[in-house]
Amino acid sequence: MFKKIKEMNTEINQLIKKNITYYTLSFTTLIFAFLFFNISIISIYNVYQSNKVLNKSYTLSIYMNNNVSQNSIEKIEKDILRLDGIEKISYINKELAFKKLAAQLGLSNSGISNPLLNSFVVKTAGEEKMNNAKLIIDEIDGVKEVVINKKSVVIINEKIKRNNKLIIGLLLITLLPIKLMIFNIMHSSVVSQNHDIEAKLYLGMEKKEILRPYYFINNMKFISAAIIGSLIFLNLYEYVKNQIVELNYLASTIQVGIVVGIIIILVNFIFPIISFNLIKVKR
Amino acid sequence: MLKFKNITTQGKKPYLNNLNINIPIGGFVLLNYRSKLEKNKMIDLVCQLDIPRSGGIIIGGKNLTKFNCRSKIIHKRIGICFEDLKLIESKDVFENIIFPLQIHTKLSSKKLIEKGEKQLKRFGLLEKKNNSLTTLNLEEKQRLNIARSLVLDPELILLDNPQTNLKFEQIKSLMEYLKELNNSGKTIIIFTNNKKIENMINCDKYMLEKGEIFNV
Repeated sequence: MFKKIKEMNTEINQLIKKNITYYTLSFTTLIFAFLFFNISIISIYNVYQSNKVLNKSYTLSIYMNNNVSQNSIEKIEKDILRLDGIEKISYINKELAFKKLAAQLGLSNSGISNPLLNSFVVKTAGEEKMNNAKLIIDEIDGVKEVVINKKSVVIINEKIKRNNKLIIGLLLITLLPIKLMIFNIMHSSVVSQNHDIEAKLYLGMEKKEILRPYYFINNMKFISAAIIGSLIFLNLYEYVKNQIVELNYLASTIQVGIVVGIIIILVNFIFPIISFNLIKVKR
Repeated sequence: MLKFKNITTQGKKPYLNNLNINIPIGGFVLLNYRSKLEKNKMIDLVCQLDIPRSGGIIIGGKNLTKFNCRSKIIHKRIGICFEDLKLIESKDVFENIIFPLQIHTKLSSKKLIEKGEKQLKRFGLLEKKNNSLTTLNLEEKQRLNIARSLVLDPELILLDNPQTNLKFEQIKSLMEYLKELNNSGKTIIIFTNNKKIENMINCDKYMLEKGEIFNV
């Protein structure tokens, strides 16, 4: 066994020595490819996260009748919370709301009767769930009116649509070419050695034996480039996020690190399996 | 030593069609051919890089078609000099010459060096031992190719156009060396259409044409 490892080690050394420029260039290109791969992935992830937040911001305003008791209000709140797709509910007391409004308008509220109603602001997950909830809440005793701000719904829908297009665009324009580039680099590093591979086959060496050092170099190159590219990316991400205050809505570096880590681990697990099918040589 | 029994290769139009040849141990055969593809197919079959659709290939009493995988034991008994050299470019001259020994024998490094150097010396390449292949000219590459095919001291020697890139004198001395080897019991098959070689040796001559072999 040790003899075989020693032989493979010698073979790997020879291959790298002979093609040092090629390996250095392809390794550097791979690092850059992974850097851009991560940029694309995390851009998509951020847009996806922003879509998730948008999807949870469909809002219903629920106004109570004037004569509803505090107990009934609590019961209504519990009933609403039990409905499907309710993300968040906040109660707005009419007295507090009136005081706030008066302060905003610069008026004194003494002597003026309060025209406002006790209300709930409910955030739902998705437009469909918001409409379903409206129908149910309308039927609850003590609820005077359920209002949907149609303008804000249109704006949210437009933003979600735009983000979805952005995700597809990022996927097509950057992610796929980068993926192709990575696999092409890996593929060509073996194909470029086809002459030697074929010669060894004709001399009686087993295909598995011949390809082992190539797979080893390829996999090591792939894994190291993936790790280096990801680390460079995470550092850049943290730096950009800290330097540009307007970008504080971006996902945290730890969160991004976890996503990148998972993807790199998955890619590294998949690649060795795929790489066996990359090379077509004779029996 | 080498027997092709009713060999038909794969494909709609098989390169070899019901091919039969029987070369006994110690035989010296010259094989002319019309098509390179047919000749290469025969070499592929001997190298176990292709499987025939039907028929059997028997080398040294062992039927290759009965093996599920490539047999190193059989490969060890065959030495092939390829027309397109098939030298390993990532290795230097010495590494190329000892490569068959490394994969087919368990010789110690000392023995490997000894055998490799002896073979290089015989073919006048010892001074170029540590040279990379890019520094060799075509004639030297061909000498290395022939030297490598004989390094295992094989029982069956298959030479595909060994005269390529060699001068007349070199071809002559190569043929003499091959005759010597044949006299010591080695089986030799030469694929060539070269008239000089045909005139140099007196042996069985065959023609590979339309997927079959005919006695000339």
